[in-house]
Amino acid sequence: MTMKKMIIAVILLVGVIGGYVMVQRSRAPKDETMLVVGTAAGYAPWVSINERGEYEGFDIDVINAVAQKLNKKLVLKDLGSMTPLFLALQQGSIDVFIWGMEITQDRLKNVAMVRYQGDTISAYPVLFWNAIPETITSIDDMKGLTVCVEPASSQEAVLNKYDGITKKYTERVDDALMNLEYGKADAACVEPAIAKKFMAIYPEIKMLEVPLAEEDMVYGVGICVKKDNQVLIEEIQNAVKNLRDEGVIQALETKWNIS
Amino acid sequence: MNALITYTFLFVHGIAVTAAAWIVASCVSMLVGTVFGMLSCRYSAWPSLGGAIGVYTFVTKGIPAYVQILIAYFIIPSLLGIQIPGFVAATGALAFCSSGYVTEIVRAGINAVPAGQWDACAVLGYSFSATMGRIIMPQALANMAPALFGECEQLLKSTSLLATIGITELTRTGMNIISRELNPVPVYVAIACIYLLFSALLNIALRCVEGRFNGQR
Amino acid sequence: MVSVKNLTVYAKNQRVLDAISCTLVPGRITCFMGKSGAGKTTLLKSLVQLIPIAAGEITINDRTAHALSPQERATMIGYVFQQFNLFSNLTVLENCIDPLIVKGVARADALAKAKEILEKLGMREYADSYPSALSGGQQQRVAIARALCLQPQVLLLDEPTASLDPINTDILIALLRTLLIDGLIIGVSSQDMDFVRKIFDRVYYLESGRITEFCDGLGNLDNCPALRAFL
Repeated sequence: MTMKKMIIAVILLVGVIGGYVMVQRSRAPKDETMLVVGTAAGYAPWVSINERGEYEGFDIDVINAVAQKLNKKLVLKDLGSMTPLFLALQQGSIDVFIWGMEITQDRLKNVAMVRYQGDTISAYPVLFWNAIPETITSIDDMKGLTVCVEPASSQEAVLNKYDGITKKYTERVDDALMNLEYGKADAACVEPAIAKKFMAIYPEIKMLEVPLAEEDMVYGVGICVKKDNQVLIEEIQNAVKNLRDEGVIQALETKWNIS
Repeated sequence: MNALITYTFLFVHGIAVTAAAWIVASCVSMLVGTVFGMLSCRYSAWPSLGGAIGVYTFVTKGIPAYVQILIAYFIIPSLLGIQIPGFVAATGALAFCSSGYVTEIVRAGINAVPAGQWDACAVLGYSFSATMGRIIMPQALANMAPALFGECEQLLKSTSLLATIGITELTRTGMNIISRELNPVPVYVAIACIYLLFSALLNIALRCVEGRFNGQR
Repeated sequence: MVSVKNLTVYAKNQRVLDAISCTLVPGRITCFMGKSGAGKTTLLKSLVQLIPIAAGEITINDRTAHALSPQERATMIGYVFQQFNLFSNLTVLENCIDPLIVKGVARADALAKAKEILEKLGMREYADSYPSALSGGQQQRVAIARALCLQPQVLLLDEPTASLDPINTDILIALLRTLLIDGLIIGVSSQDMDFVRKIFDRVYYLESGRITEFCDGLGNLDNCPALRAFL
């Protein structure tokens, strides 16, 4: 009995001490020399983890350059998905987040976004496998077809405007790809960068373009910052402008194969 | 296949994280659930706790695990004004969620032990802890073992929920690799096999435990 | 000697025992007879504190029952259940030594005592069997052995012949007589006419929670019409 009691006492002690240390460390005042950046791996070529376990990608390189310009130490926090990223930004546990986020009118209502890449998009690609059916020349001809789209994405918002299209939700790009390849869906509506990547690997993919209304247009991708954080927003805008003038961003686009 | 070998380091890391989360959550859940199950059984020495424990199981079973993870990772830290590391918050949430089910399993297992065993212990002058530890729990375990192992298996599958807040457990590792290589089939097959391996180990353990009990039937 | 005075016991707001007074003496088997529901089992159970007492006094060898802690009471009164209630997760030998170990006796001493008692009851060769492998009569002897290991001064048996065949009943009777020689106080509740006739010693007759007749020895049956009718 005493052996068991000793083990229990040790575990409790470790738990209490560990908890105390954790609380003390988190109560430490926020370090002004740090830039805490939220992101999520699994979204190549923007953000992913390479075979050595390091974070890499276009977004990683960009935010590294930005942090350097701001003379701050970069601290990356992987938050897994969209919801946690927005939540963390609101709560203030991250300063900004970068995740290949398209700048849209809708999003601008909630967060400030600083464009760092991409031109204004006025059309979205719809991808087909092997061949675009002859009868289809534009999105209006696609009534009754099943189209894969990422839920809560700008692509979905656009598809919603066209009646008669059956939406199939695919969380990730590889799901959409599999649906296309195995004929589970007729088409997939993805972002231009992704479409370019797919078409480079799979010659079977053919593309159709869907023109966008003004409120649906995408003005490139941006770093998300909390709206009331004016100081940081300006700092980042300047940093990005400098990086662009120095050609850093363009070089990165070439390195990571982003249009 | 080549792609899988390149990413061995990531796979190993993912397996380690999944295993760690699984083992920690299972241990905490079993511990809490067993204690609460014992305290809320029919012949408990502290019957007034039954109501409070009933509320506990209601809450832990009623909220989906994913929501509990978000609450543990975002809401609780902001309420208390502290930061909780993602792994700790998510594993804690999984343990919390599972402990409700374990409490019910343990309580049912204990209540299924014939009342006469309690009476026999009473006339022989056994204390509550002696009764529980020496007579009731060993008999109850035979009833509870399959259900408890089932709950363990559920926990294993639930560890993939850690991915939603960015923890690189096995499923998330797979998603990351697929986004880079666009090769979903071999990656998902490999991951499925690894989960099955964990499951197989669990089933072997269950077989051993049941074998020990069969001698007494 | 066990002395019961004005014992009243309630169950579910019903009065099951109504101011019962009786005694159990060493060297004699005291039987409690009556129809089902008369209160025989309730009386025995209240003697070992399995059922709470509403009023009355129980003394065991001049010690008041409710002043005893459960551990003390266990070493004074042993109880054999009608369903035996042997610990199914322990072997026969373990069933007997477990109460001793819980009490704090050293394992070696406990083993010696248990083996001695099992030998006396003729169950030594089944020491490593599990209760589920034994017949009804064998299980009962193990239950008695388990109770005796704590060396009580009183042994109570609730309907001991209910699940026994005639051969095992005779074995039981011989066993009880042996235990009496050691000075044990034995109390038995029963509805079994044959059994009571064979061990007739001191018999109380219960009816609806009251003792209506008491007969000390077969010779005095004339004073006990109900008992005579029963038998």
